[in-house]
Amino acid sequence: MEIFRSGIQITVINVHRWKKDYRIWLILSFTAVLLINYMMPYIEYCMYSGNKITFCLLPLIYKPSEVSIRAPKMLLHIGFLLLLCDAPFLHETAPYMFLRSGRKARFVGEVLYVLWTALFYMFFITLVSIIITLPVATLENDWGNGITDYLYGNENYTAKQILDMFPLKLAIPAGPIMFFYPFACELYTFLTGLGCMFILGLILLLASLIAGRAESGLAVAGGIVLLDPILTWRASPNKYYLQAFSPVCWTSIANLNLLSPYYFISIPFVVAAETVSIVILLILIYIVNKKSTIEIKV
Amino acid sequence: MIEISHLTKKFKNTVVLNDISMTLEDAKIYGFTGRNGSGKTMLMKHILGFVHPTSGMVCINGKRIGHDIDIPQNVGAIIENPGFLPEYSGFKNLKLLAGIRRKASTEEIRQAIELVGLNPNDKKHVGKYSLGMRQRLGLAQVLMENPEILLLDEPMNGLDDQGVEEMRQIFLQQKEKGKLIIIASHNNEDIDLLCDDIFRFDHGSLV
Repeated sequence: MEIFRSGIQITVINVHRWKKDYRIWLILSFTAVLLINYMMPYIEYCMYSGNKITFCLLPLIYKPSEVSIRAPKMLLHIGFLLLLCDAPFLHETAPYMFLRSGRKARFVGEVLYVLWTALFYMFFITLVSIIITLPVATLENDWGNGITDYLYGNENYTAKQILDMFPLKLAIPAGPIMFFYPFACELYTFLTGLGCMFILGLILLLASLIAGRAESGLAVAGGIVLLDPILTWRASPNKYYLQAFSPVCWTSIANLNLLSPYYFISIPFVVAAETVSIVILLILIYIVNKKSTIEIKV
Repeated sequence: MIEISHLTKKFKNTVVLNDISMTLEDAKIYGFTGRNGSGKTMLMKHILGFVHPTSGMVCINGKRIGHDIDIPQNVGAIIENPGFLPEYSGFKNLKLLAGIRRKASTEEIRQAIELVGLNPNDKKHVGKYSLGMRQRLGLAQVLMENPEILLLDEPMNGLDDQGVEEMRQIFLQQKEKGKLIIIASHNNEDIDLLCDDIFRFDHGSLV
């Protein structure tokens, strides 16, 4: 219990460093701008047509993307990695912290800090996506005509005409909208997105601890993020098992085998894979932390 | 008591500490002297458990670092340049650090800050402190939890003559209380005035 309490205090001290870390506020600002940019066509169409949309936009933001620059999901994950780009968190106060905490509490503190950052960032993305929709949101568990018109059209316009008038920056994920409720999609995307970010953060921390420098962690974790659009591109038409190799692929509800028998990713697979990945990473970080040199880089 | 036994540290093919052995007793002040890069700070990092030796061992009160304990408890240290969160006051910084072990009360923190000649009510951010003030705050964080062992790497850095004299008195008082103090310094006057025993380092070896 003492180790856990000391670990929490280490997390608190690391979070206190955010106050004057302009990198954090810059990343959050860019994230907000990115989200607004990608979701604005829906809002503009709703304000033009008087339609409503759900506030559950995460499944649309996390649509799987093939190799291209139109990949907010990839950019969001890179933004998360940049929040942790000072791993393994050996700042100038670190020796005084670890002298008091010991290596076990240091392990707890740094893992909790990664988890806190993932939770904070996921909440931020969710909150911004909700705020964007406030002028036109519906509280019902329904996607709203503001979204479904892009798939089916309406009595005045076809879907193609609507797309021409209010072009989307990101293609709409048809499968989830046709077959799932928005609240369920939002919950799935939030939880898997959180798990994915936690895994990426742990990978970044592990690689940084082993190499002693943040660049190594960024390279490894960044490579896994960049793997997502490549695997998505290569998966079609009959290699969907490739998407099992990047946790970023697991966050798109449009990849679930509930939508197609050819798809590989299932909810039990995601739960098991994220749990096993996290457990293995925690064990590895514990072992490396025990043996690593605490070398302060100022 | 600290016992260092045949401690050697190599980084790839470079030997930074070569077969160091020494016994350090309580209620004494020991001096580590030597040129930059001679191994003084590296040895201190071994004692703190921050670095694992290639061979040999460090034992504090019979417990082996890296084997029985990972980082020794009841040790206070200033290693290299003291670093704090620049956007918070000195008191707030020490309060955050004290929250890890919860050994020092608010009153003890205030007393430690006053002892080193700073004002615990000063709201000035550490980012605006002079080097001497940071050094004093570093010393306060060493003293606030009343450790048994003090490791001080260049503790007089940035201090004026009065500050140096004040710190010397503090170290002597701590020695009277039975503390084991290790001071690494280039200043021969500090070493000669304060230390009961002196260890000279040269290229990682004891001279």
